[in-house]
Amino acid sequence: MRKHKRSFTPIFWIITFILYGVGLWMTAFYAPVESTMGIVQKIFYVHLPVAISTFLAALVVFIASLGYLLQRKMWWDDLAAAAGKVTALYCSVVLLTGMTWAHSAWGTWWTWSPRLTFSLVLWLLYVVYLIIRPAIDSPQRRALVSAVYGLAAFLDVPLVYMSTKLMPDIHPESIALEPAMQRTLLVWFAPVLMTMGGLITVRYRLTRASRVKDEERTQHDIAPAIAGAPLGGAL
Amino acid sequence: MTGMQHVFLAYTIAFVALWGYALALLLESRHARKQRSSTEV
Repeated sequence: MRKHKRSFTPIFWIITFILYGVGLWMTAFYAPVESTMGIVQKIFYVHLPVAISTFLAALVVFIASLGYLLQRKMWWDDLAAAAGKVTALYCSVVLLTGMTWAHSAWGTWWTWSPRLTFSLVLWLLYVVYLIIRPAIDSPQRRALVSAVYGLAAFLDVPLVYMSTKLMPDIHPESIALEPAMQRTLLVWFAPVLMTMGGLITVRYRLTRASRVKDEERTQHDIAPAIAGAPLGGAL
Repeated sequence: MTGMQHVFLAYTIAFVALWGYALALLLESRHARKQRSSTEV
């Protein structure tokens, strides 16, 4: 079983890498240049899948946080921590690719539109999530605080999504795509989502293995102390 | 900056960030696996 797991990992990443290649090829040679925005519209093929993946990674944090609060099992906390890191990373990519597009389309790197502001808030929320975790020493306390924070942070996700619908915004609400453009966008979703899932899984496994190792070490250190302690001390 | 340069910049950012983190994690897991197998022996 373990052997299967190990051989699956390189194949998974190779397929993901090939799909990135296909996506890039389609972006460069298959998808036509959009008439209004010109070539800069091609940023959209990576920007949108990364944005949707950010929402999904944040949803994993939300579900894992809820799972911890309901069951108090530490693996939920490990999953939330892994997904929190990926959410912060993906959100950074959304902001940076969006800023690059904005510089060409609007002539400015940044404007305080509702969609951009809520996206910046989302990035800050998950960066702060990563900052507060190591600041709490007790694993149980850290898991509890992080779970409550993880639930609250997710509230910004619907705000980012709905901002262009609820408020006047310079950010496009949707872009009409030709069939070739739609196919290119669809292909881009596969490697970006696979990378998101793969990163959360690998990060989760590493955190989990390290926690199990720490727990074993603690038990190993405590066991002889308990065995050697006088009866009163042990009690 | 031309439109092409903007596109190139955006894709470079995305690739460096996502694959950079993926490679770092894969190296870390490889290192952890090596350490585990050496302690098992």
